[in-house]
Amino acid sequence: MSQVVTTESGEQLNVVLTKHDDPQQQIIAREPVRMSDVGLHLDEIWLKGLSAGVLGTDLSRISRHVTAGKTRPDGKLGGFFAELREGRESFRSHYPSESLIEVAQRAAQPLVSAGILEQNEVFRYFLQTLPIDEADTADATNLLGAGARVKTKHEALILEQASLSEYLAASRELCDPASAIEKSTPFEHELFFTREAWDQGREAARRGGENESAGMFIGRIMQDSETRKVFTRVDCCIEVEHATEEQYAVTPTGDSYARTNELLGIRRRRLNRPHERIVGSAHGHNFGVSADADGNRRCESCDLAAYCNRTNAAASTADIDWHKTVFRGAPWATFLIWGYNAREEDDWKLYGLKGASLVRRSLRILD
Amino acid sequence: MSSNSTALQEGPVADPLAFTATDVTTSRVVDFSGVDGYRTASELATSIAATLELPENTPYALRDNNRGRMLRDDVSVGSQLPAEGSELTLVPKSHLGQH
Repeated sequence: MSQVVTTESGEQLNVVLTKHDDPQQQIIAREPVRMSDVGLHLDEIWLKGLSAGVLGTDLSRISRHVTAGKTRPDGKLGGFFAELREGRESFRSHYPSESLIEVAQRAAQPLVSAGILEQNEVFRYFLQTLPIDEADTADATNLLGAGARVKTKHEALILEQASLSEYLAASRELCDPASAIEKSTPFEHELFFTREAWDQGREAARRGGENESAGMFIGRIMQDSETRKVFTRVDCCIEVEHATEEQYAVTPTGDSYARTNELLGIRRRRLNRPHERIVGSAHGHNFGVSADADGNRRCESCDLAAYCNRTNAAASTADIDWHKTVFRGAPWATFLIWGYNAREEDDWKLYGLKGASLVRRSLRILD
Repeated sequence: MSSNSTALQEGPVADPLAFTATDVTTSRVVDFSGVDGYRTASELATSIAATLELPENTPYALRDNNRGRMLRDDVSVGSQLPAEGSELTLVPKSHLGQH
């Protein structure tokens, strides 16, 4: 387990559970928040700090801090602050308690097994700081043996200088089909695809035929030479080879990742772009939309609706978990799903990091 | 260094171990030394994931990049790797997909 999160005041940050219908709100579980739980929060702050010109690219020079939010009259915390500091500079953001719902779900699991909570029973959770519990603070390295030593290195993040205004002028926004009904969240971090990368992404996602298949986006992290704002350029999509491809899942193997990195290395040398990196993924939900209880895929309004919202182009829990595992430390990373709607038309959704969650976003296509 | 681990062993066990481990995007690299060679590859993978602060609800495996093969989860790492110089990749045992 990764280290527990301790606040600036030296206390341990915990998620606490109570039963939903308990007026006394007796605590039924306490789960320490760990560094792996705030990974997306810290990654996002780093990207914001980079764009603001406050934080640098060398993570070894940046320290991480968590501060409890205001304590409310009922003793619960109003969220927490995550902060990165580099020298005298710092950048911090406030996050609500809801951003740690996965910690609450982790705490609830043993309660379900023990019969204290029913499966799918609603519960309440909130944040609290408590004195550090030594039982929670087992260092990951302790598990490697008493004499183990660990030294973490970070691949240097190289930002390619460019003009964001020129990129914006040379591109147009592309929104997913669902945005006709519900606007995707506006993003500060601009994301540019070359037409080739976009088409290759779809190709990699559809290559599996009736099975799911995937590709990895390769690109560069750019920085506007005037404003220092950071943005991403996606140059190509590499097919994920050696993966297990099934109707409802694609599982990259160790050889898949090795092959992707091998091809990335070749690109870096041939194109003289040592700063190219993996910046996201694309995969296909190539199965049809499920039929309803009556065996119908299309709804009654199908002939009249401008947009078909019966679609399988949506991120699953597995998709999100995979992305968080692969792209920890890469807040610019995106993932794209190509699916179908009930009309058997192409449908897609693109996701990016915002508010420590992966949410739908648009992109810009370079002409 | 010895361990009470019940890991399977395949031949002599190198102990302790020194190696380098990275995530699948190779953007973060960790140097380990003095690691108990009697730990299973599965235990080591879990520890590396914790060090890299990766999600804990995902199981992980290790790939020996020098030999281009996955380590056996239930076998001691010291019987699968040399004492020094190995380069490992931490591979999530997870998939993309609808389910």
